[in-house]
Amino acid sequence: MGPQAVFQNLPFLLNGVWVTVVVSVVSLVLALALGLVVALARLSFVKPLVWAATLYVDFFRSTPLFIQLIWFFYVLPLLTGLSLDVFMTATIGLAAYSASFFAEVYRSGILAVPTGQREAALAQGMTSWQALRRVILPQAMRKMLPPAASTLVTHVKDSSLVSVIGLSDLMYQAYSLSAITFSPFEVLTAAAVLYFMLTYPLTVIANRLHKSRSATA
Amino acid sequence: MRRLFKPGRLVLMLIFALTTVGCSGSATPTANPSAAPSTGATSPTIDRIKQAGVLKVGAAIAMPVLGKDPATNEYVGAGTVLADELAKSLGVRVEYLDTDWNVIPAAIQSGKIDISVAGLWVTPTRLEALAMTPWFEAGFCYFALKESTKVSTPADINNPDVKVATFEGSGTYQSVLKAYPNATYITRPEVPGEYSAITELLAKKADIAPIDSTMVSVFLEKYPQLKVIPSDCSAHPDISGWMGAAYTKDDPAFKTYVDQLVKDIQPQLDEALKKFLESKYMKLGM
Repeated sequence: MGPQAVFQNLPFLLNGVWVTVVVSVVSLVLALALGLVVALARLSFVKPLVWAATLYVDFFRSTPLFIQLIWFFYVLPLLTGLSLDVFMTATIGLAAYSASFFAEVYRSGILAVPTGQREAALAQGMTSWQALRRVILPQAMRKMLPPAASTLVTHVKDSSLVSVIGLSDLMYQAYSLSAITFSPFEVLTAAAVLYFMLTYPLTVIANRLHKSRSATA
Repeated sequence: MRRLFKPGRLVLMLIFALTTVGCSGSATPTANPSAAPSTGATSPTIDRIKQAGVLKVGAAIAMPVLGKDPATNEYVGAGTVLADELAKSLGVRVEYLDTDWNVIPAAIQSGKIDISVAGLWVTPTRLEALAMTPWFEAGFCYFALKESTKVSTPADINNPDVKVATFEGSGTYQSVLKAYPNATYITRPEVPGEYSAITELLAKKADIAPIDSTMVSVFLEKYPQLKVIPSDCSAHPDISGWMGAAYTKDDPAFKTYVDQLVKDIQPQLDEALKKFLESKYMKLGM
């Protein structure tokens, strides 16, 4: 009885998978870029930048994504008149949240590079920006990859929360299908399997990166 | 590093994403406006809707009032008739915005939606935050395990020894609690699609689980180990009440308008409700 609700309506769930993939990828690109900016701001010598970046990281990491999304979608229009559509809100909200985690991944990766590397680069005549781009970041990337991969897995799973503002991602499609077929447990189990299929390859990659880093260490 | 952060690729990805996935919701073509009820007073909500050219309707899924056809992704249910007629009378198109049940008041108060046509029970608590126009009457039935003898009639519920499983914050909980305050209530958030806390019954953690009277036959077919109290509940439900559409309470003129419209189209709404209760959409999970 119940499983038929899933098999007969698989395309409906797969539409949600597509939206999950798109919102995860687009917000990931934004999060990676914003996270780097925030990390560099935290590492800068300009105190107001450091404070602002620290406040950003602490705020977004300390408040639930669920509440952030509801606030951006429903409260922000009331306070500022700025009303974003559901896809933009989901993408920007998820990006802002994940950027706070990626910022810390970047920062710890950069701080793990010995300070002598920067000094040597500057002594070679590079500017601070050239030293960062050509010497520091390439080395930091190798150290960042394992925790970044783990953060990426969490990012995809966190995308399920965009359903609370009505974006028709996999979670929302599962909720809708549950409500119309009266088979919540079968449908939500299917959704769990689909999320697993999306995130397991990323988990495997993260595990391999962790292992290769341990081996080289 | 250079390849990873090429701005052009980022822009292309964003453009691709934005053109393939946009706002959720569907729209119906503008129909010629029929004779519209007059408000007799200015309604800022109606002015806003007409200026935007669109009636934004909150869609929280629960049949037979509102559902989504999994084959076509179109909204179905008796509530769509109300949405279509309201839009037609204002000369605008309908746009649905998927909402979660918990955020309907926030969606209305923030202006994200103009009206919710989801099946919301009209309760005093809800009327403190929202205006509502009732449009169909229903009541409650109670599921119990067939072998259970603790509750034979609804009157038996009002006893501290009777455990009632239901959903936190729901209209069902509010109404049943008011009628039977002495029972012991086990509440939790509702998982969409449940309609009744049957898992607690099956796990023998509760004695009864209330359900909207419109859904009884569907669930009795799905769960043959249950019985319904009273046995003729579909015809004579307990605690009759009204379900209705919800919108802002800050615009009395809009309420007058919607109330009048519902009165005018009540036969159509009754017909639609009957049609969807007997439709294939109530059998999708069977």
